[in-house]
Amino acid sequence: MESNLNPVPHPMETNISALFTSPQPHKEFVDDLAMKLHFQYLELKSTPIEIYPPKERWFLSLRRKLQARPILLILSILIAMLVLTGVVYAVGRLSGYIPGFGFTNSSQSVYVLDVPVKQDAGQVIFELTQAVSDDEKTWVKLRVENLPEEPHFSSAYLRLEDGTQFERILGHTEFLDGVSTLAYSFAPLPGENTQLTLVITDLLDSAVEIPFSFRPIRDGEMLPVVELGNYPLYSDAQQGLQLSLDYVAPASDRTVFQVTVHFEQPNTMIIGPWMVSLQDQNGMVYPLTDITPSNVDRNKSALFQTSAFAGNESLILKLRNDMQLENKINIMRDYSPDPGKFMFDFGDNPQPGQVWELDEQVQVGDATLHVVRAELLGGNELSFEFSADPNVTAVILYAEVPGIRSARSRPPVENQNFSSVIGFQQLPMEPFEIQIRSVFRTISGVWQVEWTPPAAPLETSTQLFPTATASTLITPTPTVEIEDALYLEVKRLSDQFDAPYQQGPGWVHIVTEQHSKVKEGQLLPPAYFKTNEWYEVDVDGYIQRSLYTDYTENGTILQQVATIGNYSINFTFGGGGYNETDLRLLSLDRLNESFQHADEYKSEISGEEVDCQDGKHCLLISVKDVLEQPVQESGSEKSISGIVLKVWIDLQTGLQFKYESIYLYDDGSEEVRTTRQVLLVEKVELAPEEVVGILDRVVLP
Amino acid sequence: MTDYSNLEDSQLIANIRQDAKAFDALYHRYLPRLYRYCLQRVGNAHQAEDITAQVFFEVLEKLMNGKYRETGSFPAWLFTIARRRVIDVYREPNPDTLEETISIHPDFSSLMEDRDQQRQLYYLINELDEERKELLRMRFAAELSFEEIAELDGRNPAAVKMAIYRTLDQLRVRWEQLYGK
Repeated sequence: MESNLNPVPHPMETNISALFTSPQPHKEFVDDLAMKLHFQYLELKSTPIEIYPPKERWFLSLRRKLQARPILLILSILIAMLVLTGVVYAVGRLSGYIPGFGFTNSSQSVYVLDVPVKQDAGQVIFELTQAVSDDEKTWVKLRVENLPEEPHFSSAYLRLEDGTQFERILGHTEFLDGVSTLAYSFAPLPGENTQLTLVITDLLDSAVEIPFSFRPIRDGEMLPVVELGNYPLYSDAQQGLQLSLDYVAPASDRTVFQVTVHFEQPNTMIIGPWMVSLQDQNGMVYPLTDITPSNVDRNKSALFQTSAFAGNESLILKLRNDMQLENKINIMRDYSPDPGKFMFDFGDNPQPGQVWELDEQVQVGDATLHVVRAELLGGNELSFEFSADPNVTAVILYAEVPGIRSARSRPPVENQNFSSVIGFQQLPMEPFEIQIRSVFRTISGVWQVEWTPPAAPLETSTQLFPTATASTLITPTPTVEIEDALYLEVKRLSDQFDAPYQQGPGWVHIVTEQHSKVKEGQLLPPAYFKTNEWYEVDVDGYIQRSLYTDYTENGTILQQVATIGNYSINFTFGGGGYNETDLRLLSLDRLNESFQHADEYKSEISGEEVDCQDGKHCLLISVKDVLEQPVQESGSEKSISGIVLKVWIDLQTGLQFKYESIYLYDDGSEEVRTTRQVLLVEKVELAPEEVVGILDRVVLP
Repeated sequence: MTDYSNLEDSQLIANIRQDAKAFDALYHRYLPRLYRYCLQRVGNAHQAEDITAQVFFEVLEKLMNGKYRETGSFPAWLFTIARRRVIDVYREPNPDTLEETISIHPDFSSLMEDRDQQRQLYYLINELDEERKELLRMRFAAELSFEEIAELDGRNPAAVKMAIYRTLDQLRVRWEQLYGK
């Protein structure tokens, strides 16, 4: 078969390069480390003593972050009560609760801004007008003129004279007639710190530093009150977890908001990606784009943008984590300070495959785990099996012996026992203590915030729900002239089937189902799922918009992806971005590419006429790719030597209605790994309202 | 004034005790690659920053105290240290690391067609064994040459090159199995 292939990089290669090279270190980190290294350099130059920080210090910083969460929760709740603005209260009334300031019991501990501070950064003028500090909190308020664009949120911290930094807890932004008002709250300051610097980190290209002074409040002096809006709003706390809607910033064409997850117990976190979904009272979905900046701890908080609102919607914001199971969240709690413990002894001359029957009850926090057996795997790995526990999905083990190499655990399949593996460089010769330091759970509940959003600013837009428009860039699907009889027959059949669906404008609806072999412990994809695809095509058959939904047998959505022009957004996992590909012509043909690249990949393509189900007469196409070297399959003894794609084509309609992916193994065996079948292809004038509604609400970045 | 950004690694190392700018040039040359490698290993930006910082402090101390012997390439030496520090993290039962060791979504790749391809590729790469994953990290995140990876792993450069191509071949096949060619 002849081909004159274009040397365009394979899409996998383009993506792999982007995947590995895109993350860059934060500039703040780069600069901060450069400075620390410089000081270290000077120290080392004056003395050869090793004084670089031990690694424990670095880990400590992470633990501190985790332990700070309950403090944040308390402060957030207090500040949620701030509703009044422009009101002042006399110090004499500080013995009780003061709206806008919380509980304060001693005027001696209250500090206020000594004098307002005005500072320029190029054309931008900052004026720090108010600041208050007491035992409960610290907050500052400033006015900013001539910002190049309307700010949504900004990050800030307070720096004390000794260099200690206090990160912003809450922030509020107002923008009117080109003037912004920014307010930030911080944790209470230690001791009598009167000389501080407010550092605003992401408002301009470089950080803005504004030094200011506190002084003790005077007798009879009035205390200013800051408004941080009606937020945060909190979900009910269930199973020790709470969701908050922290801030909302309406703009003319979009709404930006921040959400945070809070845990009652310290050292707890959600495992795996978490998202929120946004629906109105009628179940209409509002697509969300995750725009969390890199300096926000995504484990804890996330920023999203969605369409602009009229201001009268009743919305429900709901926390999601496990895409397969509705209303379930996977969490992990670290018990390192007080781990569960049990002893284990390899005995003499342990061998791979050796099994030890055990009966150990281990208490970890409020869970009692039952260890039933251990098995020595290859590579000095020891696997412990635990009895099934409805509240525990996995544990991570540790041992205070030299040479711990790895630790891993997998969720159980359904209600079976689960196992946890610990790896050693060398097996301990003496009895040693195994510690259970982390416990993974799946908690059930509904974490949702009911919310009426702010209206988009009226003066800036007349279109509250802008419909994203597709790019007009259209390129035809590249084809290579191939004079192969089989290829020409396959192309004739696919063209025959595609032709009526390419005559737009209209909507094409495709439903498929897929059966797959799944590995032990595999959650996604499930062994069976359906896919519902909606394509809006233009008059020439090019896809303008599409909505792609995978769902389980019982209708639970596994993932949903919308594409507008060449911009795609994954509502389930939060990914989004512009595809490098141009607009595609609607086609159900999956074989064209195989024929196009057959020579390059040395594919063997064959065809035969066969009788199919329902009395259909079919053309069965087989595309066989043989690997240059067998590849060991992960978790298997066998190696894959090749892959065969089988496609059944209905000779009457031309539809490629069934696909099979088959692995060939080096021992001569083969296995069908995936079967996908087309259940429905139809063309309609208009897609259902919920489909069009979702696509209409996609906001292009 | 010397423009250190144009000097070879060995020239920078020779000047480090005399001029802080030599180390600064080395730092900025390798920081992004080291950070990306660490991030790929531990999957968490905070930990990647911690490990990157540790490695640079250790490298600085060794360079200043003459503990670096120029018998091979500097990047191979640098990433040897990085590997050790990553292993230290796995020894620590730190929750941020443990999150990565749990296989919540071991094979999500066949769920999607050609959408959100990088995320799907991430899952395909996760199907690879650790040796192959490490080769990809070394090649693409750390941007090491075949020779430098060979030095790091104590292997023949041709064997490294072949192993990487086979790994890419394996990924390509899996990719095409899922998305077509």
